[in-house]
Amino acid sequence: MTPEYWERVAQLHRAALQHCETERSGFLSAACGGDEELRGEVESLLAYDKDANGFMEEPALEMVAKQLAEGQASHTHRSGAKLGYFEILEPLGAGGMGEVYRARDSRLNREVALKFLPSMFTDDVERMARFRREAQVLASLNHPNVGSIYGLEEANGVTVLVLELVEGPTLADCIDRGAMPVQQVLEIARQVSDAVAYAHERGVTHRDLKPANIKITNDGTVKVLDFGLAKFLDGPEDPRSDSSVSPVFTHPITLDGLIVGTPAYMSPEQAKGLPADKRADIWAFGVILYELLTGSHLFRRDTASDTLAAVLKDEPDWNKLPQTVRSLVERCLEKDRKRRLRDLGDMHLLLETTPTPARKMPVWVAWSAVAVLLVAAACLALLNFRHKPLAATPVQFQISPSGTMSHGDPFALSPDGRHLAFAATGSDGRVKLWVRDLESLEVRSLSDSYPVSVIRNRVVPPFFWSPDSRFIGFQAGLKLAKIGISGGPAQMLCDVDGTVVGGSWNREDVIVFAENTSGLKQVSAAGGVPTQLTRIDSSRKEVAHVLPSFLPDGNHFLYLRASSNRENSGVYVGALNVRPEEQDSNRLLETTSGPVYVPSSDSGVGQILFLRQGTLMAQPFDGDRMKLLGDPVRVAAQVGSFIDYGFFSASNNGVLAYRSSAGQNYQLTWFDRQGKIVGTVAEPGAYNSMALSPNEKFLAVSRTNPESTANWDVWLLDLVRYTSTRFTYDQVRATFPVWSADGKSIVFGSMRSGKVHLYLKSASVPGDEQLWLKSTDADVYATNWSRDGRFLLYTGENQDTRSDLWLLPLQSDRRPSPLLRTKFNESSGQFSPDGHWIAYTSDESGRDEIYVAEFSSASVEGAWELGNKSLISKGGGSSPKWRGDGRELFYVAADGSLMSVEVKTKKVFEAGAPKRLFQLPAGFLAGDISANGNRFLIGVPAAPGDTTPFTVVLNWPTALEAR
Amino acid sequence: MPLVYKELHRLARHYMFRESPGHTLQTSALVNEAYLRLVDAKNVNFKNRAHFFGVSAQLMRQILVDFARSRRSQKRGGDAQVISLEGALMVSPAPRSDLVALDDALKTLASIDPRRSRVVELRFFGGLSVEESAEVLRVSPETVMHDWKLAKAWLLRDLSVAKGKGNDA
Repeated sequence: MTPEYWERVAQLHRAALQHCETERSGFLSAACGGDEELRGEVESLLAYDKDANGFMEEPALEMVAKQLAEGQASHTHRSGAKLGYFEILEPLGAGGMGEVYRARDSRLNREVALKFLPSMFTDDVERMARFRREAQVLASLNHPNVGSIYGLEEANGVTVLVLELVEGPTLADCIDRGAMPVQQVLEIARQVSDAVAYAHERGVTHRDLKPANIKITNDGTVKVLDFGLAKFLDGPEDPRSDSSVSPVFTHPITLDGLIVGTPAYMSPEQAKGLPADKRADIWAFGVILYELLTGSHLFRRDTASDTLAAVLKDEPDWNKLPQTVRSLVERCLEKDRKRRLRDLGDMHLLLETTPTPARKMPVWVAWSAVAVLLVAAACLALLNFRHKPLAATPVQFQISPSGTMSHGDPFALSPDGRHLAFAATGSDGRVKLWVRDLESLEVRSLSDSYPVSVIRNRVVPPFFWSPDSRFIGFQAGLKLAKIGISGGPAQMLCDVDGTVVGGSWNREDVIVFAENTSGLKQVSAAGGVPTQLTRIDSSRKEVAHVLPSFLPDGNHFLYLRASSNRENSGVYVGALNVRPEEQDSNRLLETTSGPVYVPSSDSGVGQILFLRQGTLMAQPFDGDRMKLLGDPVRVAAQVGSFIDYGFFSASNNGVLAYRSSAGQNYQLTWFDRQGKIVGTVAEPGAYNSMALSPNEKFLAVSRTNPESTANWDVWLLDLVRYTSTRFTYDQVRATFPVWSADGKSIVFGSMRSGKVHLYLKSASVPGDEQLWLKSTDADVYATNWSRDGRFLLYTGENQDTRSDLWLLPLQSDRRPSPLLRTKFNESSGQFSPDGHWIAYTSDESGRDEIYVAEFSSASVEGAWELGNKSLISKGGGSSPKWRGDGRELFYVAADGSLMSVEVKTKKVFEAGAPKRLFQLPAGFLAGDISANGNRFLIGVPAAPGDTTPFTVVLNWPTALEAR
Repeated sequence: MPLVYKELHRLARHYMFRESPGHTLQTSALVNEAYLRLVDAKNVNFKNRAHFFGVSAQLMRQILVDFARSRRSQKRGGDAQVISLEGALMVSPAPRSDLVALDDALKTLASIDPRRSRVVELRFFGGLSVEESAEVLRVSPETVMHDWKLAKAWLLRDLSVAKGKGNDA
């Protein structure tokens, strides 16, 4: 089919359509002049015309959204189909939340209702994670009038809710039949109110209470169904957290563009787009009562808009109600929720014949321990906390950032613990400084846009609070500025050069800030000319002085010195009004991230918060005597960082906020030897380690899980069929997969027992994981399995000898033995294909370099050792990998180039000069290579866009004491 | 991808909860909103209105097809997990609603008829009306109407034939 021929077809098609159907055939005969093929083509297209009328008439965007909403056709199930222990019997109906089926639970031999959740929900991993947590609470609801939730089952991308099967007419059916006698209604109301009060007491709000959700069984029991399910259908917790104001979103009809709940039973506050609380259930209860008693709908109109308008404006006709219930229903249908009835438990008290307006309302029920897990309850806890210390339990909850935070965007808690400030990109694409009130959860941006130019890899530099929690100091272009959080323009304080990587503000209004080009400076918070406090010392190979944090005396401060010499990197103590040459140059604490000093409520001894390889540690510190006290304690795991900036912040009164490191997404990409991209694998994800199977058909990757960013799991990617399967199901980190020599199993590290151990699991046959290695080291990760299947190389890390190479013999009793253990860091051990040599990375020279050493049996029976080593890399190297035939060694140079070295391993080891293949992309993640050495799998950073939530912990020090 | 999910889910929730037909106004407002957010027009330099629509439609196509493709690969899920689904009838999407197949077919059409495939892109992916498309392509609305009819017929035929041959893996 050439374009020209096709154009002829098109013209004929058009012309044919201009003739009426009966004439078409004749016209075509004439026009095609005997060319039967041409005629056939046109007629075939004409034949599809009718069918095509409805085709693609709906824009693609809507089509996809609808498909999502309906959960696609792929969930049509036949009766008789089995889902694990359940046998599907018959469909019961489809509601807004997915299809419902009657099924038999073969384990417990009872019938249940299975609700298939549309893939739209299951795809939204954040929502699903929230729901899973919520489902536990819901499953614990046990009351004769509450429809039970038995559980949540998942398989093959299908998620089902297993619910109590309740059969009988709904209240909607009852209303349709007409007005009911008062006594009957009151009996129903009593049971419904029991259910609602029970759930409310346990912190569960229904949010979608309506007659269709309430059934009456054969024996007259009233059951309220779907408690708490509507909650996780909501949009973000705070509808006002989206700062971009669009007409659709502020339209009173929709909350975030969505109608949550059924309009006819929606409370006025819900209709206005405010978040619903228990009082919305009370309102709905009132509407239901009214409708049961009158047999007619109260607010329902022809259209949703009209219905909601009625909810907001119409006053019910109270005369239609019997006298005895009028007061109760009036109290429920109070449009101002502050004046509405709050507690159905005392419902019967309101059934008096002479209501008195001055009646005292029942006291609000107390929050239970379960409730504190919900953000709303946490607010209450915070409110209490502000006034006096809570009981000594730490309370933890999560907050989403508004907008999108790029990897490394800073955040900080105010010293009084009431606000969380953070930088994020709003939906208009501009980076702003936001302040979130932790009590009201209100969020606002401080200025129109962050007045800072793009610096330092497009990451916003860290900012800092004033001690009175009223101002924030930050970098605005080439100046240091401060801005009040209650509004107003920013005030410029002084000029700066380079990037201000952190600052600290003491009670005498002196600010210490880090200028990454020179060192730390001090300046008055009122503005002025800064004086140099510290100067970066290149003789000590220092790279930066950053992230200062004042100590209680307001004169001394902690800060980080970053140096390419590890001995010099860490936390130092500085002082105001002291010349750079006179500053203390004794390292206080070894770390690579900026420290945060947290004073304690009782004098003197505070804590230094710092990161150690992604774990947040607290080191007790005597601020008066400038001494460390004892060992540091773990506070939280998987806390992220960007170079030296750790994603954590603390207030002065026991509030801690941190974010995990799931920020950086990578696209796994194949490069050839020239550095050209020749393919990609899977979609972008937060991968951190990977290994190709020996036959190169599979890739085992460790990645943070979409549903819980603090959690890493191993996945298997089938490179031929383009599928991905989850391999580990830990609740904790599972990383660094390594394939066995025969490609049948995978070794990985997992923290499920609190410490990292190595586990083995079959890659093809489903089965359990075997614990393979319980190491005494703090951290272990497997690096390589010898081709002859006899050994596993792994790296162990501990305080004294740092990283070391270890060997696990696989045949005998599997007793691990250290292969290279020095005070330096040795890692990334890789066997040569013939098994006689080991390539590894060591920093004994002062920086990472690649070495190759002979691997042989030692004189002592059953032990092995490394022979003399040869230095392979020049000028720095890491991540060594052998080519499949052992004749080439690859590694990554210090400048990010991929290097190749030709080697001979016949009897003696010989290596040629390293050759540069190509430059790896900035921020790359090292992956794996093909056996023939022609293709390299590298993680290329994907576009930023991170909505990892903050974890906020109140009373965090008490959690430490509890250990 | 997260932005796409967010916007599509916003829209999808709307469809899930529609109670009465009186929602069409909100629907189109929502769709426009989602469209603008997804396309993120502010970041691209547009020469004129036609250019804008042309680029947006392309972007939208890319976004939606990528999305559909990623979900499709997820659905062909791997090994048995905790519970297995036996004997259930899993129906793959009909050719008419299979965006990935449609995109492939459209690419084939483009190789012999770029303009008509453009019409489909503008109207189906970009949501443009006949008049708007005519303005972008600089042809008469009648031409657009016919282009649209012809393209639809061709695509439908191509998709039906492909399905019949059991092309869907």
